[in-house]
Amino acid sequence: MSLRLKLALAFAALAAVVLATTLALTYSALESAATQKVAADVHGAVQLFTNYVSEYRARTALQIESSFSSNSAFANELDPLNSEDDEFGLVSESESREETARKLQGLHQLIASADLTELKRNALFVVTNRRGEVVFNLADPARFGQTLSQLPLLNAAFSGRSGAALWSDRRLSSMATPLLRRGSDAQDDLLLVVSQPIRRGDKVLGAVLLGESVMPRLAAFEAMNGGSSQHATTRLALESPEAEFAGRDPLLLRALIATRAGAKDADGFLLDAEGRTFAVQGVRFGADQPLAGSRAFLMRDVKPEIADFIHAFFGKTFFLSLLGILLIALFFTQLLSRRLTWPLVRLEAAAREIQRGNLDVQVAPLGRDEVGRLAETFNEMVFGLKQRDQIKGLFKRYLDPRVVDELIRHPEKASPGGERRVLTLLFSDLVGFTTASEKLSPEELVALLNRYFETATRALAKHGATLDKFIGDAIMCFWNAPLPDDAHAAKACLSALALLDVVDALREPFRAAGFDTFDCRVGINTGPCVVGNLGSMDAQYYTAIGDAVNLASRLEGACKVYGTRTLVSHATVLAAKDAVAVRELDLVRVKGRGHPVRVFELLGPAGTALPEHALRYQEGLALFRDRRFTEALASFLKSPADPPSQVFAERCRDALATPPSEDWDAVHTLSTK
Amino acid sequence: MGRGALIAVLLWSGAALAGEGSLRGTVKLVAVLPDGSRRPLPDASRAVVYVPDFERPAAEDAPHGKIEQKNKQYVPDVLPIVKGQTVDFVNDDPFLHNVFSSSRAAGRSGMDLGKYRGPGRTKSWTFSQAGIVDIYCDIHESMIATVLVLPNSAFVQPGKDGAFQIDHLPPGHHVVYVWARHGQKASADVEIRDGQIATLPPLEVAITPADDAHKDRHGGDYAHHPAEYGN
Repeated sequence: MSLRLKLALAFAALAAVVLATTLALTYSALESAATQKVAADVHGAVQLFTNYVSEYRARTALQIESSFSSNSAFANELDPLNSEDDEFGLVSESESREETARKLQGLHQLIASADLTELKRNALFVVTNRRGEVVFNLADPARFGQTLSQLPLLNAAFSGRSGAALWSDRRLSSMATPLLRRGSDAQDDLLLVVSQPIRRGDKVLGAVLLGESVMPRLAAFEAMNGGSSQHATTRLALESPEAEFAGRDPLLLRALIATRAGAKDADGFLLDAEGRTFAVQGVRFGADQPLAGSRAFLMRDVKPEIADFIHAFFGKTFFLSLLGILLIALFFTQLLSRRLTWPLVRLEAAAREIQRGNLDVQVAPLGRDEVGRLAETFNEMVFGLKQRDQIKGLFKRYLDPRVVDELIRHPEKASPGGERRVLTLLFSDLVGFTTASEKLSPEELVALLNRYFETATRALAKHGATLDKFIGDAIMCFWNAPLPDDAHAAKACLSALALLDVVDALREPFRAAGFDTFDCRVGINTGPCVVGNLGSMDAQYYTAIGDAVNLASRLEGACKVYGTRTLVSHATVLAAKDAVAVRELDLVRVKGRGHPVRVFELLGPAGTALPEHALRYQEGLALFRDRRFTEALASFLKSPADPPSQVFAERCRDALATPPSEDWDAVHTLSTK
Repeated sequence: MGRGALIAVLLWSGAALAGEGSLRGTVKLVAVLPDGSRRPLPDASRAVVYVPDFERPAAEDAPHGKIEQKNKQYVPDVLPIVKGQTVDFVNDDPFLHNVFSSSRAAGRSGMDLGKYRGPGRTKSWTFSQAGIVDIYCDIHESMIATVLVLPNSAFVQPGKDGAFQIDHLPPGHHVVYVWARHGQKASADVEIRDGQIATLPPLEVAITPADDAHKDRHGGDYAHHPAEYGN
């Protein structure tokens, strides 16, 4: 699984969790809002119901006013029925009964025959005189005259006020006089009963009781409040102060009766039934409201409410929106993971390049974060690798591996550019190469040369030589650079001896291969040089230049003059101290250099005893310089196998034949290069 | 008047002489103000104290009661009479007045003396039924009088201090009533013994403020200041 996929999955999971959390929070908020809405609605219901009661009262008051109070015929008939005569003991029993009955009958017939359609539509319609005697009762239109007493509603009307109350079916049926119109079903219902005074001026002539079922009101309210939702069930119930309920939903009624039996207050609870959750809220009608003491309950199925709310909130395209949100989240997840991983991909690509050996790779800056720092470090690493590679590439071919390692560890020691320093330089050349090159095929020659160089460079490297270059069959190398080496002169001399050993060891196999005369000449000099990386940016090599270099080269060439294999300058011999055994050969003057140079031949490592001919050569040389040529000649002739002695014997003869001038200084001028 | 009548009178007077008692007491009128506070009223003389539980109608030749219409006022505005007695309504104002009542005791079809102009013109009405008769003027809404038609002459209007005495009461149990305008029902039981004066504890009557709004003769509202009546 790629990192990008992992990141994408992680982000997707995160987005999903956030979305789920948001939805959960939204749902809980909505639930709370819905519950609160139910609570608000029940207050609204109470308000609505109160308004309805007020409106009903106002309407009935108007009807009573127009039908009775302003009906002079009726009022005129009703008024005498209310005379205070009785109260003040002024009517005889018989007279009163007869009179009252007669008047009541008259009034009764008046109402029964009147066109009071509106009023007679009520479930309860009762007219009484001032003394509570029934003038008309819709429940039993044939009967009249019964006395309704001790009804707070009637008392309210008699004192000139309008009253309202909720009466239950039970309460009505327990009354001595039935008041409910036949055919009115009051099962699970309450009757809203209002009382209105019949007045003449401020005088109360009688009262009217009017009642209608609250159920249609509840149903209307439920329909109105359920209207916003097709699924939500809204149920309203009313409770009379006598703890009698009216409502359409048996569940709610049962719950309310249960709460009444249990808790003190049923205001606000959740009812779980029939696999649904209902929020139930109750509120009491205030003392200033017409139905003071009554309570209203609102029950609503909360979940569809929430679903509807969500539906309304997100619109019809809820799932499309959800899908859109998810797609957008996915898109950004992709974008983000891609953005986070592409630097890593680039780094990976760069690493692959390096694996292939391309150290010119550079990762573009990737910012300042962890990945950015990684890229920076990567670049630094590549730079380091490159530098190492350069150092190795530069030195490994001609340096002691220890030196190379040292340089890699401390690159600053190989200071760039030129540096003035005292070096010991060694030039070596093969003898017999030209002859062999004529005789051998180039392939054979190269093979032999490489074999020689292989062995020779190994020997040189062993003595810490810095291999400068191969020039044909010649080797140039030096010591004391790039790393300082105090024993540079001694090491150069010892390596020259090693080189001679190599040549000696190879002579037989080379002769067998066709290299007839295989030998070498070595020139060594010590002196100040300029050493460093020379060349252009594209091609450069580490080399040393200076007079000392030229002299070393000259000394190598000058071996031919003396017939020796080595020629070492006095400076080197001095610097090498007693590391090797030497014999002085001559004083030579090199073209372009004013001072003569004392040159020596290497005889072996330190402690090598000087051979006889070397001692005789010393004597001869001293005699020769003392212009005692005859004696010197005799001394030199004693060593016929020593080429330098032969050279000096010849010089003695020359000097005897043509004596040198007075200012002769016994210095030999090297004419050849 | 024949012999029978003479015997009857003798019998009646004899009975009266043989068994009569008196009642003495005090009426206190107390105004109950809307804020519930009670304030005694100084004048109790407009109240009527009566004992209505026996019949003793007025003789045919009994003198008429009289209510004058003066300055758009009925004077007196409270008149207790005995059942069968006639009341003269004298218009002393130089303009039209009307006398009517819708009260039960005014008769089945009510009482209406029509409109007549004063001064000095009189119309009469005989009250044959006991009861409280509120009398109004169809022209002047503010004119209010009450005729208390009582079944006997056992009534009295107390003095200003409220003290009263009723004589010629048959012995036995009686209920004494007090009526006053805007007064609540007030009554007391009393036992009358032959030749003795029963004394009642003070009778307190609560007077509650109320207006005297009423409908006109036809059950309608008064039309104010109609020009035709020139009041």
